[in-house]
Amino acid sequence: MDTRSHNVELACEKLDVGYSHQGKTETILSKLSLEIQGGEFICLLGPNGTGKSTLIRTLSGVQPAIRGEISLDGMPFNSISPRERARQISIVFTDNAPVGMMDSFSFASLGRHPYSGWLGILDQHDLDRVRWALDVVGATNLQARQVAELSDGERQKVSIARALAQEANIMLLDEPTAYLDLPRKVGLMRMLRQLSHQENIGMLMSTHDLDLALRHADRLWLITKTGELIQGLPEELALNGELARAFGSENLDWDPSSGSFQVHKDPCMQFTMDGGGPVAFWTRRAFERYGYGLTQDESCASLLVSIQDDGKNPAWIVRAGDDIHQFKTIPSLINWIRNRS
Amino acid sequence: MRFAILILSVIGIALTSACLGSQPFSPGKVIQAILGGDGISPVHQQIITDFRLPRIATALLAGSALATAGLIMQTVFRNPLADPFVLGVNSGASLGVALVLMVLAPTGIRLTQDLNLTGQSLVIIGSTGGAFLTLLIALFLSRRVDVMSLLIVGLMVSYTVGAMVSILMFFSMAERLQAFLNWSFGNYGNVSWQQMPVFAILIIGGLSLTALFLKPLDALLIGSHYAESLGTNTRRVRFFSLLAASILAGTVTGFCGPIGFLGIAAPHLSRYLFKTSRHLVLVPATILVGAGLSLSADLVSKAPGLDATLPLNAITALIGAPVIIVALIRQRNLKRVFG
Repeated sequence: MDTRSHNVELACEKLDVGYSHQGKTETILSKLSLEIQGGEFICLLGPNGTGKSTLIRTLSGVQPAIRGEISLDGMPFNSISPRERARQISIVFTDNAPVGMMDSFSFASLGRHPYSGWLGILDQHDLDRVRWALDVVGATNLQARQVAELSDGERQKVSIARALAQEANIMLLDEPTAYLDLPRKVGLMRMLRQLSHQENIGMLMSTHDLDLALRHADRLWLITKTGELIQGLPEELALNGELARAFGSENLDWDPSSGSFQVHKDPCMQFTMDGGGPVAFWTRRAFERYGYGLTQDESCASLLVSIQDDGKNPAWIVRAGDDIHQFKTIPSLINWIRNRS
Repeated sequence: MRFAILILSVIGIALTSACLGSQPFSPGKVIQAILGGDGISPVHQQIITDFRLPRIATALLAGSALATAGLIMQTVFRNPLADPFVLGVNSGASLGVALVLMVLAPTGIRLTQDLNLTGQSLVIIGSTGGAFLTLLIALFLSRRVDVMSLLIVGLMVSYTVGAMVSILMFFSMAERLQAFLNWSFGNYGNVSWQQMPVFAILIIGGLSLTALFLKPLDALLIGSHYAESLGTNTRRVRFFSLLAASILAGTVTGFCGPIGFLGIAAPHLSRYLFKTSRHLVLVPATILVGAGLSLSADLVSKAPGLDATLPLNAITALIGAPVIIVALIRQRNLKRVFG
């Protein structure tokens, strides 16, 4: 696409974001120096209330910055007309239902506003872009349906089509997957990443789906509980402990070796395990749910678990001190752990 | 196609309205009277051209104005129940009229003579002045608070002004009260050909102002953040579209009294007929539907066959409320449609 032949970069320098009301300002994130390059898919992660939405709104220009400079393609934000900015930056938020009656095609067509005349009449090129956008998100079959009658996932697709029809080089998305079920979350994330790379769009997307973000993002922006924003590659942040610091809590640890959260381990309740495969994985889950942590060190483990898996009927042998228990079924095993803890 | 049917219906209702009244005429006679033919008595000619036609023109203009104002309010406030008067324009007008009828009239008869103004013109000046004063207050506030707060502020302004009117009514004589009550019933018969140019210019001005904002009003439907991300200057659009709506609603209230329900019913009916919220389609549709509903209500209020004139405001409610209910039931789920 010729409009995206060069990389447009959205950048900010020493940016403070937050709210300002009647002379009082509340800064949520400060001294941010960030940039979004064309064609990269960035996920913004952070616990609730740390300012993800505020940052996205500020970068999109719908909320004023408290201090600092945002620039688009090297030009300061305030020197760009709203119409020109709309051609460069599009947004998709969690909540995106229009009021009144509107079919999906008209909804997606709103993305052509920065290009059309005062009556908003679309020419052939505009119509082509809207059709392309609906097609690329897989919503062509929805175009005649009323937006109000779509499911959350369908509406989110059409909303993304609206943003794509805007032909912007930068797309900012605030929790677009929030109301979706898991398969649709994964599908949407894949699609966004692919679009970002294919169309050379710089995308920033905030999300709570840590696991999906780690798998799909080219880069992560991570807001910590203390209000710092740390940038890095997913693997980098996982290995250097930043993710664990940002997301760990009293009850949960983020475990870099599995890339997921674990119930906080009690040092007295450890177990070792031999055996592998799916049975071992789900056995481990069961133990972890009741507060046990897996260790390699037999001397500190209170339980030693071995799995005999002949592929059909697994059996578990659990040694607790001198007692040996044998279980033939998962319910009996779990029942025993539950009564013990 | 749907537009053609609408236009024909409006013309049809207008023609019916010209024919029916305390003295019925055949359509041929009406056309003769308009074209100035010979075969019609001067009295009949006068009834048609000086009473029926200005009344029809008033009903057409008032209906289009109230319907468009209602549509703008529903879009700007993103609320299906918003009507042209959410900012308190009608309360302001009634305060103006109450002041003229209950305070000025008993004491300032000399004013009427000195300024050579008829009582009717004074009422129009009072109500239009009151409407535009509340409009100024509301527009001033609209730049300071968000949309939802503005809705509540408008309601509170209405209540406050309504309370002042109540106090005035409490201290007024019975005949003055009756005059005020008559005004509050609403009437399309008060605008003469002399007053028509001012009335028409204000309404056509308001409608033209609306036409400038058809596209950005579409953007407001998806919320102000999205609208701004599409390059819309939401504050400016909101200010000028509220200005247009208030001019429209204020003018009608000033000249015809407070007329309810048309402003809510016409946009809903149009959305139901055209299955869209795109203002490029919806505004012309709403203008036509509003004009048609308004003419029909006036036709009913003239009560052909009866000697009395029914209060217009009651008729618009009787027609408007069922229209809203039917349109909403057909749309099934208002909450989904209106967020």
